[in-house]
Amino acid sequence: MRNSKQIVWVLFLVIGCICVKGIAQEEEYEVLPKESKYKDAKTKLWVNTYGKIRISKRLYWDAQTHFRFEETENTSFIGQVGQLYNRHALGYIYSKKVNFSLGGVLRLNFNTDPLSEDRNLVPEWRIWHQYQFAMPVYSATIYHRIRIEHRWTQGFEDNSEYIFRNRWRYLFRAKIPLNSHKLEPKTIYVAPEAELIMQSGKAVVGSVMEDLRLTTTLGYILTPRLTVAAGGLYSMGQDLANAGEFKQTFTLRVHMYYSPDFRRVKNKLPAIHLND
Amino acid sequence: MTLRKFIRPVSFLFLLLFSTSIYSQEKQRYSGPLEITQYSGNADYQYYISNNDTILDGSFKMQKSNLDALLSEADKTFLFKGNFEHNIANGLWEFDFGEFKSDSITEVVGFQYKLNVSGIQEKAIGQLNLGKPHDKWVFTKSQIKNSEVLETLFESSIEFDNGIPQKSFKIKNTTGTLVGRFLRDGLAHDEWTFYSEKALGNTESWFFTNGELQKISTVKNELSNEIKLRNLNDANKTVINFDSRYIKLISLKNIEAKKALEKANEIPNLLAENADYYKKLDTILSSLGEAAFLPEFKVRVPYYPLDSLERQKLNAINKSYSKADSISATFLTDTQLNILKLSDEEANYYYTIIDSISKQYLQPIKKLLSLDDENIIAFVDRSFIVQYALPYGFPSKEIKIKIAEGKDESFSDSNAQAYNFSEKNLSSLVQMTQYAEVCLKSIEKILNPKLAKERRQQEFIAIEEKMISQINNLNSVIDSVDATFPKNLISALEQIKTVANKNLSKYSNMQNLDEKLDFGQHLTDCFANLEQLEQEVLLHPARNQEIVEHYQDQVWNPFMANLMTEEVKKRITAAYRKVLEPYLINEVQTNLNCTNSASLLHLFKATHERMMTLREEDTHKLERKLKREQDPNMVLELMNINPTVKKEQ
Repeated sequence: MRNSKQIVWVLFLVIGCICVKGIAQEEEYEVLPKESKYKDAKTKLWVNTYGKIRISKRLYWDAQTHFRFEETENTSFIGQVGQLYNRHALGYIYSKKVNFSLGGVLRLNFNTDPLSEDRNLVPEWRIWHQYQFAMPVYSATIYHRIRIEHRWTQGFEDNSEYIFRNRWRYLFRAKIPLNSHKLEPKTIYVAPEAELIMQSGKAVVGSVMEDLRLTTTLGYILTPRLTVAAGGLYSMGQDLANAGEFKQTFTLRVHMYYSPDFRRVKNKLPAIHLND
Repeated sequence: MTLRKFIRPVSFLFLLLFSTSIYSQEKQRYSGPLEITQYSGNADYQYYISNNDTILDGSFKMQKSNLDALLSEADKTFLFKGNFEHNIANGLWEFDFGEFKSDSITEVVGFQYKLNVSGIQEKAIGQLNLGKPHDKWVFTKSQIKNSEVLETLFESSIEFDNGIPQKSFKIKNTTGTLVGRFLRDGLAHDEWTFYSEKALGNTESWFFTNGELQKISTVKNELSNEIKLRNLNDANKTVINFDSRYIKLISLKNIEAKKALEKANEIPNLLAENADYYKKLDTILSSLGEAAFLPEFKVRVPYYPLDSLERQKLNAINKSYSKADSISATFLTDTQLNILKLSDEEANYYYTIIDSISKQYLQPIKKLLSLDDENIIAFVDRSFIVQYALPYGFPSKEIKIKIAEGKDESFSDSNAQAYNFSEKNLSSLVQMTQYAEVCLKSIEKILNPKLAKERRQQEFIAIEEKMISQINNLNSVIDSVDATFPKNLISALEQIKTVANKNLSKYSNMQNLDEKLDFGQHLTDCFANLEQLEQEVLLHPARNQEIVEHYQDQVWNPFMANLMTEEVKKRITAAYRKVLEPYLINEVQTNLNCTNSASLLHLFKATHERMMTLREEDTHKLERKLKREQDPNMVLELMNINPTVKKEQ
């Protein structure tokens, strides 16, 4: 078991090193405004499904599919599809409170600019790895999540080149049960979250803070294997094109969390004990 | 070519077959382990096979000695050496028995290690003629110390002629020496004298004439004593062995001889000791082949053989005695009667009579029968037998007893005239025994119903006491439950109580005592079941909780990063909750009675037990079958819970 843990660590580090290489200078210069400028907030709706499918005592398959809508001129929140988002990974349960994941993302970006005559749909590729730590605090639990993404994006223009960026994400989240002394089935909980997403790469000049997301979610644990939640997100971040400009969004979020276990009963035993 | 190839091994096989049958009578030799009675050791002997039997023929040797045992603790050794002729011991034989210890100090002498031993050695040597001792036989038992004879503990030297002792003999042990002589036919003759080794001058002499004992004279501490034995010259005589039976016979007939023999017993003791040594060898020889190795010292005694009529009478006495004795022993040891006689005059009267019959009638008969058992009866005349069994004459037919000081009572059977026992013969003894049997049977007829009634009364008391305590328990349980206890279970408890009370009032209204007793017995069983059923109902909520907890599993929730409890096998728990549990409670509420109380109790227990075991079993198929099943009997069958229990007694 120790060996497999070490292998997972090494894998993460190697991929990290490959991707961090080569941040170079841009030839063109963007003129920064005298004062930072906040764009009008866009409204969005995210419908996200999160699956964590247990495949062995220590491994699970992380399968997320997100449907992201955003406003049009006439319709706020759900006016058009913004992105279809497929995030997959192999998760490793280090302990009940610590787990790691490594996987890939295929995001389909729709051209939401009504004036654009470019391509309507471009893919975006990512390799990502994540380290999550949970800490019980009284009846609540707080979570620290470090997520590192290596991201290849391209514009909607024809023959647009892929640009490579790294994203550095830290999420702080608390889940506080409201009608129970712990997070268990039939519990309503409130989850305040703050996530800071930094980025780096040749294309990133000045606008290192890609996004700051402040969310509050209300969730309900239906069963040990199914939870639903909904909440609101305010986010802001520097525009890649000009670090002096800040984008803003208001997003409504709806989540479904499911964690099935298709293993046969005899393979589940011992059911809970991981380390002891 | 092929035929020749075939013939050669076949002919060889035939040759082999014939040769073995030809030589099957041929002597063979065995050398290896052997076990005879308690002796096991290594044997080396010659034999042949006849009709699948091993027939010893030729030299025989068997021995055992164990050096390890000798050095560590003690060794029991033996050596038997001699010859057999067609399975009969014949020729020179030698027997050695040793029980040795060693000090483990060794010494090398020449090319041999020498080791000193101490202990006891027994040695017998002599000739056997067709299994019987012949010529001189010498037995010695010696105390050995450091491989040297320290003391001779026993020595006997007897000459035989084909098993019959001859001439004079000498037997010696540490207390003294016995010297005597025989006639040619082995009968004791002349003076047999024992000379004491411990007290010089003390002697014990038995005088025989042609095997008949005439007198015993003793000299003890310079005091001489002489007992003359009365010899019946007109009686028939027969020859028997000088053994314990003979001694018993002498003392039986002559009280003086009996007294004298209590003191003058050296000669019989020595002879008995000698006979034991012979018996030891006889056991070994007899288990190997045929042998009659006994020191047949003969004496002559009066003989009154039993004719068939007398044998019949003795059998009749024996039969009657067995019955009578069994009745009296049963009553005398009956605990019920022993208690009852303390408070009941009649019981006390009969008890005392039985006791008296046992003493006056049965014990003398027992004494008589013991003579028959010991094969002595043919050597004493019949009037003597009566005298011996009943020294104070026949008991009275009217059995008198003393109930208390100054309060005498008596008993005689109504058929007493039919029995006559006054003459001193076997017929009278038959009559006497039969009279005792008749008396006891009459008393049995009176006492048995009395005791049965008493017993029944005791049973009623016991049963009713038990029932009352049971009903109190049954009624009190419902008071112990608190207000939070489920309503349906309270009503089940009430039903149990109602069933119990209804049955109790049915019992108390019964008139026929036999039926009542039976029903009471049945009710105590029923109440016991109901008591247990109440406990089951009381425990039911806790049991349910136990099942709920039992059917929970801990699941790790990856989103919350914690463990959550999850119910498993929901179809099984649902079938229990929705079908079985309501059925069980409903059965108690509506169908409970004394006949099905045991099976319902069993069903409660079995259901719970089954729920606890199903959790760990592979129940995929069962869960599928249980889907939408509403019939409780079907559910019970699917879950393999047997609803019927062994029939109530």
